Amino acid sequence: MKRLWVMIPVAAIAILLDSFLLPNLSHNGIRPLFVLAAALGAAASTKVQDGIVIALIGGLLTDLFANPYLGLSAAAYLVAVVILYGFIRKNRPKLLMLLVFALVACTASEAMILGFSLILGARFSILNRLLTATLPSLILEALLVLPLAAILKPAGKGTFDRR
Amino acid sequence: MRKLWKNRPLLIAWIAIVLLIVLAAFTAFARGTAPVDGLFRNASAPVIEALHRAQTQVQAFFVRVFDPSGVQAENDRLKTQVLEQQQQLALLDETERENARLTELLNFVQANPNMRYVSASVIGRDSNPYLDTVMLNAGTRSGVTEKMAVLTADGIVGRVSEVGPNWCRVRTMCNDEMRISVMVQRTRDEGMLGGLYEEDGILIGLKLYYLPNNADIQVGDVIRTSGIGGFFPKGLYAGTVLSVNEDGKGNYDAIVSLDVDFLHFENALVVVGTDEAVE
Repeated sequence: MKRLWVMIPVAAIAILLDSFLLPNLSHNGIRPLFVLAAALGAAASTKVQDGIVIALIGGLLTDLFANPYLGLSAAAYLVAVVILYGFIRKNRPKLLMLLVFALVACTASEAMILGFSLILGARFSILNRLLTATLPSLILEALLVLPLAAILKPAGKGTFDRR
Repeated sequence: MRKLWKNRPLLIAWIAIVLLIVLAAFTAFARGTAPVDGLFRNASAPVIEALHRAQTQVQAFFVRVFDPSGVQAENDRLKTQVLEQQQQLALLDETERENARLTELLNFVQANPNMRYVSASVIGRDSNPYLDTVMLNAGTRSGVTEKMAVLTADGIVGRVSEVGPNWCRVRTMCNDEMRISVMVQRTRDEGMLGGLYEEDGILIGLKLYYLPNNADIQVGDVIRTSGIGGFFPKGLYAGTVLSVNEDGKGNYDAIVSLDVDFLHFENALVVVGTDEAVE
């Protein structure tokens, strides 16, 4: 129960940041996705179910508030959570490895959004976009996973203890 | 379902992913017509609007707190822009005023086609409050010589007292020693105009004297140059009679207005010749 008291505000703040504040503050398209980072942080520190819930609800709300395709962000975030969980379910990750896994998960999520956008006819230079916006955003997202995982950890447990 | 959620969360996640992709594709390809999308978006519109308003406030706060240099830079840029526009407005205003002055001079020239002029701008004034002399940017290279008459559209400025290659100094009518031969336009009575008339230290006009005995002169009469002496062409406007005095013996003198704004005029005409013989 205590977990929810932390998770809900963190998720709510992440949704507000992603939907309303950061789209207007992003520089050159660099914009870390807080909901994604929160979902990955929850999946890494508490239960994968928490990560799935944050990814699903947070992604849907973000889509509803700020994206043209309802469900796309939620699906992409869920993919990231599943991938991260696939990496960490067997072995307890060290901090650096968690960072690498988070980066891979974020990359998969971003690739899915990019691919979907291209299929739907979005026109932009992929290489340019990857180098100038996507890569910096991914690094920021992965870095955000660590503090969010620390915030979302269950009371009395180590940050990255196994469930 | 609860057991499945607890034991097989990834299975539920994958199902959700598939469903969400279908939903995204559905909203993408049937935008505006998808009932689910429309329902959600219509319901969320007021929330989005309220949150957007709040976001604007929050964003402004963050910009102020975290990006003071940006605000300062924007402020500086706007200040510079305001200054530039003020300067442009001042230039425009100045151009309009100059245009008006030159138009007046042009009208004067067109009304007096028998004279040849050199136009000049004032480049220096005396510090004397009555402005005995002014300096113009026309000199011998333009055909200006000493004692030539200098005019504005409002009347006589004075006479060239000193001249250089590209400048000249003009002794104005405010100089107490300046005298010009004039006549009353209506009666052709001649007299001498010159010398300042003041009341309580305030310059009122110029003295008109040496009028003939029993001269017929009235307030409002126009005074023009008579051409006698050769320096000022005949017929130039010199002023209007402001008051008339009679000493009881039939001797008249008068006060004539000084219409040229000696403190502020900026352009003048130097009369370098006439097409008609002028005495």
